[in-house]
Amino acid sequence: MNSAEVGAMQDPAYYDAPIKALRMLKRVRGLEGTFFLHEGVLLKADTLLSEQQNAAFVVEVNALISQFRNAKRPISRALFGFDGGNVFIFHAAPFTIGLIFSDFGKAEIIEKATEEYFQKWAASFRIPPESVAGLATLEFDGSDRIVLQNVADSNDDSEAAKTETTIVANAPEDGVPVPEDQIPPIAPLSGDTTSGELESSEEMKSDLEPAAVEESTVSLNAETNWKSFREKIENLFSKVVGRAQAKRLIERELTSMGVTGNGRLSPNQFRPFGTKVIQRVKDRSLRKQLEIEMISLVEAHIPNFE
Amino acid sequence: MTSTKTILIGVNGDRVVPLSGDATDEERSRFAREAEGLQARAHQIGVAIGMTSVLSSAAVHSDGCIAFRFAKSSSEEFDAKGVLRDGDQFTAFSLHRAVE
Repeated sequence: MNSAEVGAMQDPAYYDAPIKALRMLKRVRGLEGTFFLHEGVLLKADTLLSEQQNAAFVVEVNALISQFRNAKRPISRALFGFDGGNVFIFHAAPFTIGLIFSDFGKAEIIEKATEEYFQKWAASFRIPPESVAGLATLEFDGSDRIVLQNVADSNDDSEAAKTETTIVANAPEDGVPVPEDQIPPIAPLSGDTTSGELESSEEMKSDLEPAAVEESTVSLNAETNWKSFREKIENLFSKVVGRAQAKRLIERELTSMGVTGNGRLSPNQFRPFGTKVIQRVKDRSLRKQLEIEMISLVEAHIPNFE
Repeated sequence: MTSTKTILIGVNGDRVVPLSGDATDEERSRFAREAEGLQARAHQIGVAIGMTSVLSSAAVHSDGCIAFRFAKSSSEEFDAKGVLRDGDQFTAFSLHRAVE
């Protein structure tokens, strides 16, 4: 490719025809929006979303692509199902197309149509045809009926559960595509802790010590109450992140509050703890909604104990 | 990374167990890490366009593909179910179908 061609490809006008062609995709019933990106820059968004949402979408799609590229396994396609719609992303560097559609049943048609679109424009885009070649369909008859039983049984003492090995989702390793902005900061356990944090930690210990030596009904109730509250907070937080992630974030928060192992919080710490966990949610409206639910959980758990 | 087997995986809390196939510890661990990374990114993409709950995700990359979905109801007896395939690439919709 000579420098004139390279220059022409940097000009957004060069993509007028393929962008127009992209509109043809919108003939697919249920397709609600299209994005066309070149080198991570949005050239055209044809959606009903606000400009701000379009921009935010582009940022996140670029982050997804970078995440896989940094892990040395560049992504070519992604399909996400949400409660209110679906997103299909097709990436053939340096081009990315994002499609938003409502009916998940149309995913196959939309993916195939995008494949065809890229194949048609591969020469103009100067991308290797093999990078946009049609993919095979995974025919996987993963009959899981019998083994699923093992998953359910893994919490009990059945023989099957005993033989089933399980592993815990560990912290990300090098080269694994986990976004850095999703890894919450680990609160300092010593050295940098403020006196306020130390006080709460001491308070916690004084709360725990009697519970550890007394086998009274009160301590048992407190234990049950704490476990119930923790589980409910975990369920609540699992609405926005995966359960394993929610569990780990909660453990980190507890560690930062000085609670480890079988330790527990006193009921008057339930709310500050819940608030700290919810603060991890970036979306303001979602955070507000979770906060309301969290407060009602706190209220439901304080009377049980006191 | 050289095998071409497809493994079906179930996730219950932080327990990752094979539902079909003979997934090794390394494969299950990798699935957990990759699925978590993908889920986190999917969540961010959803938030950007006003969708809050991620139901399912699939990604096709140069080393293979991965897909998972969360349980649709409590009767499903697992929190999430996923599929991992090394070496080969398949259409994203068919990956979703594999975890249905």
